[in-house]
Amino acid sequence: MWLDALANGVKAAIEDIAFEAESRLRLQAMGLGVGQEVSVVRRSNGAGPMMLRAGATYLMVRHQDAQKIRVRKLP
Amino acid sequence: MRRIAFIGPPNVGKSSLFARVTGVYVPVGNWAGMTVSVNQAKVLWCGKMLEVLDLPGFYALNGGSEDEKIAQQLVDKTQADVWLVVLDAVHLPKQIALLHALLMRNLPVVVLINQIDEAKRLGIQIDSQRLQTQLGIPVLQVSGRDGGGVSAIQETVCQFLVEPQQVNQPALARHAQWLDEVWHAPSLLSDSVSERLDALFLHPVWGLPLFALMMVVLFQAVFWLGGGMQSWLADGFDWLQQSILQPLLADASPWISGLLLDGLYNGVATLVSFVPLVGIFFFLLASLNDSGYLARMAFLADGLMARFGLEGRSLVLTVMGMGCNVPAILGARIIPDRRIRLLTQMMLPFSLCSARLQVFVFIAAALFAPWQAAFVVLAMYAMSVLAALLTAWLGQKVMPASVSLHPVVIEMPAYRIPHWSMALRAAIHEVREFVRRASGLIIFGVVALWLLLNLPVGVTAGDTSSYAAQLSSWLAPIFSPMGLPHLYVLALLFGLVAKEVVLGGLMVLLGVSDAGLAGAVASSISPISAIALMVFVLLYTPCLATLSVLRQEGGWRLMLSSLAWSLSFAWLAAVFVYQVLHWLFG
Repeated sequence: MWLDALANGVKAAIEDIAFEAESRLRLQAMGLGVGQEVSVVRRSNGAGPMMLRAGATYLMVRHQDAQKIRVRKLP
Repeated sequence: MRRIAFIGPPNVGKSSLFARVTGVYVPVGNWAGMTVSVNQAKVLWCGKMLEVLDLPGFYALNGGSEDEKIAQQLVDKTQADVWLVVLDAVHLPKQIALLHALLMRNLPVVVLINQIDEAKRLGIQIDSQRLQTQLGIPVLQVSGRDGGGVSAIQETVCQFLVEPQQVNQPALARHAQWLDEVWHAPSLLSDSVSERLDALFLHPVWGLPLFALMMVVLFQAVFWLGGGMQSWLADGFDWLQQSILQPLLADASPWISGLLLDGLYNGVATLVSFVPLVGIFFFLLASLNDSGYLARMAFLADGLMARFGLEGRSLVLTVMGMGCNVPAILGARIIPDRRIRLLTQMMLPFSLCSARLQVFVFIAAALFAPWQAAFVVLAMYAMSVLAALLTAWLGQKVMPASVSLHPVVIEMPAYRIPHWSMALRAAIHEVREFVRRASGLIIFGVVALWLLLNLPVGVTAGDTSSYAAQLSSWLAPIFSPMGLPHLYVLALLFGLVAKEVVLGGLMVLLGVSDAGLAGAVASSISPISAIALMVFVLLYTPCLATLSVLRQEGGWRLMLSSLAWSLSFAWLAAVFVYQVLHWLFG
């Protein structure tokens, strides 16, 4: 599943990031690398972004960008 | 001279450590690419003069962003005797790859694990001694914020210079395990305060009014505090001119004293008048950023701003830019993405600033009934917002895709009480940079304009034979479709210095005093022309100071694009408004 479809509070691991290499590196450095455990903390109304927790870091990510990050739900 | 260099990811506190170590202040920020230029200082350590560099922050050594490219080149070119690699204790796991990449280059490295105070607060334990044993190079725990552990840096560097230590080669291969026994975070960080604050500030209903309230407070602070200090300064400059400089130049020829006082001195006064605005703006922006709330504002406004190719912080800057565009354009540096930053900087000159407001309030009051005047000024605000958004929207269509289109990810740091002394130093630094880098163009512009108005020798300002008057009569046909007489074209030329100078220009040109200006304006143009004039003043050429910071931030290309766009846009809009109103009511 893609990250934008992950329900709030559910833990998942990043499996793949469908961005080109440079953006992938930036995401990784911000804490969103393949294998990283993430969860969605909250979503804003309408077309706004979502707030993620990745390890100890909280991040804002846009929906359209989250649609390019593939995750697997963790048990 | 031996050289030591600070290096590391953005947001890890390199600049504050650099300041602690060297006593040279560079602004501290939570944002990526804060240290865009390399800061340099010299220190006398272990009996030797050492050069200390603070390199731009970057996330990876093989990334492709502008800052990262600069950083890679710097790493390759900088022959440092000691590399002080600064990492953030809280986010160590995601930064360890950078340390590995640097060590793979066989650089002489001392590791500084910063923000150790913050890590302790969050319950993170770091065994730096163990990491040091593993790697075979010095690893220090420090805190740039409270200065803890900083004194050990000097000692370690001196020792390292005498006997450099190489990293354990076998350890390099095992970098994935470096942190296993060294970095321990509780599974759930005790970060409940931030979470509770987020529940309020990012609340789907209450979040927005709080956001709006904060924007009003910020705008008012820049507008009233900055504006108030600006007028005290102006009074001070006037006093100095009238009671000291004018008597001193009493014997000089009027032309020379005019050049010195109305040209050069006025140029300096114009430059200085922006100082309180820049200072207050950056004090507020740095505090807001340090508090963690700026990232929340970015979150709240992102949905709206993304439609125009912008991000949430573009909106914060636009509203603060209604106090003054100049610091807002400088402040756009907080936006790490080059594309969004350029669009924001193109858009900001359309923010209706306090200088333009003075002109509008005056002209509206002179020509309209009070209720109409309020409506006219409000319409100007609406138009300013529309013009800014239109500019961004068109800009994102026109800007080639080669100017980065990265995913927008913003870190939302834990809330903290802003450190006023850090914010103050950020403000002082920005003021100093502004004065150093913008003074040339501003003073040159004011003097050039004075010369235009007062050459050939012997004419008085605004005299029909002056170059400025000749220029404006050539330009007059361009302005006749918006119903503006020749004299007003000349006043618009005055407005290049700063928009409120349009009023001063009109006083000179109409030959009236302060008190007589309203009547003179009302009798010389129609209300419809006045509206077209206001539209033109709102949109045309940003003032000299704005132009000079556009050049400072984005080079001549950004400045000239902004200039060309605002002039043509202003003309089209003013002619359109005039023609439509004329057709309806004329």
